[in-house]
Amino acid sequence: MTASTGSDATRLPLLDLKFGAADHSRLRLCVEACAIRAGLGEPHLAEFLLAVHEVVDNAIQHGGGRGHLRLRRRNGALHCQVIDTGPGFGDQVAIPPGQPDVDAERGRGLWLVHQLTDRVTITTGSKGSIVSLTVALRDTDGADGARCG
Amino acid sequence: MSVPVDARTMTVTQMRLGDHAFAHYADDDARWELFGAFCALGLANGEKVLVLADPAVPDDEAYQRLFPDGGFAEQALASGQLMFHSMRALVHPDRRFTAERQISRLFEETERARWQGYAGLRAIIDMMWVPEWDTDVATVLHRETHADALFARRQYAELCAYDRRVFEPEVIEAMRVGHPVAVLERPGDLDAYHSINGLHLIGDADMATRDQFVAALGKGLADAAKVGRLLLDLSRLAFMSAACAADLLRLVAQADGFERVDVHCSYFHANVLRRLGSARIRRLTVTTALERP
Repeated sequence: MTASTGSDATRLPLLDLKFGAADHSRLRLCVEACAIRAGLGEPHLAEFLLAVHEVVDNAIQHGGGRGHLRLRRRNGALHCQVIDTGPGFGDQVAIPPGQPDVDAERGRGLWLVHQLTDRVTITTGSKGSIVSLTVALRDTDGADGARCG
Repeated sequence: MSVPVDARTMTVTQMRLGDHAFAHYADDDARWELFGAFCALGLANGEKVLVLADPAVPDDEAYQRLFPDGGFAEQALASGQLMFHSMRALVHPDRRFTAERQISRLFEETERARWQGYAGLRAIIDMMWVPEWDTDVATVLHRETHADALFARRQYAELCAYDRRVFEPEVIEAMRVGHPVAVLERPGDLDAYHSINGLHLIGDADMATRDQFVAALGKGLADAAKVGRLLLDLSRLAFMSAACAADLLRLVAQADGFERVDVHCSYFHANVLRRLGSARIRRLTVTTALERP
């Protein structure tokens, strides 16, 4: 457990946690607390939490059942990386171009992530996938860079 | 015993300054998970947090159980934003509990928190101090039902947690009814209740609770099929995943014989439903609830 300040605050992650299928609620709370402290306000906070949830959900369901989440605050934005060791996105990596049908089996979560964040990148390799989300911090009043966990 | 869910029930993550909430637990993991969520969001929101834990649990242990992932709580403890107290220390120099003394001290602590620059004070009170002090339950109930002034300025929030293994079921129910707000047992839980107005869903709808969410919606629609109209109150739904939102749209679209389904929800959830195609379902009307301050 380490609190960091000053220049370290921008280098160290705000949050660095491993997760599994039973950790949705705990992870959401940790991300919420850190995002609030980093200065993310509504409605962007709710959007970010849903986007992170969808990526974590994807890692649990299709990425080996567990993963690793890192949250950083850098250059006026929040950056979240979700790393899993699953087989990768394969064909799913294509984000649907338009609104998915109500009955669509898949692709809805990733499409929504794309809608709710400023930037999404997906990197797949032989060892798994890294999904990176970025949202701009519109109001950084009161933000601090202390580690959250 | 199960604890009823009704119009006062919400999840702990929705608590705000001004809320006076009843909480309950029957195992230690649930207790610390609930307390930890309440404390973490208070600290994140710039509130001072006062912990009056079970007198049998040392402060160091309570801290470890509240913040197993560590993080900014250490800084909050060092700065005084996070404080541990006992009920005895709070009402000192009085040697017995009186509602007047306790409320007066909490007023003082709230004033101090504001003066120190915090948004307000949130206190968690594990009611295990009651049997430890051998205090009359009627005295405690009187305090719980007459503390309105403490919350009126929306600078103070309080979570009063009762152990169902210790307090009798009738005491638990009296305390639940005696508080303006009751919270679900754990953060992440989902619960539902039916009223004459419709179906009310409370808590978090995600992968862990999706089956429960779908079952509650299915039953709500089936029960309302005779009248062909249903109000779905999602205003106390703290979280809804894309999969659950899509389940809702699919079930409403497929429900036979319905003239109209009204969804009452937050602006954010209305926006998610709209993005996922709610406007394509003619019988569905989505209206936004007034957001909590």
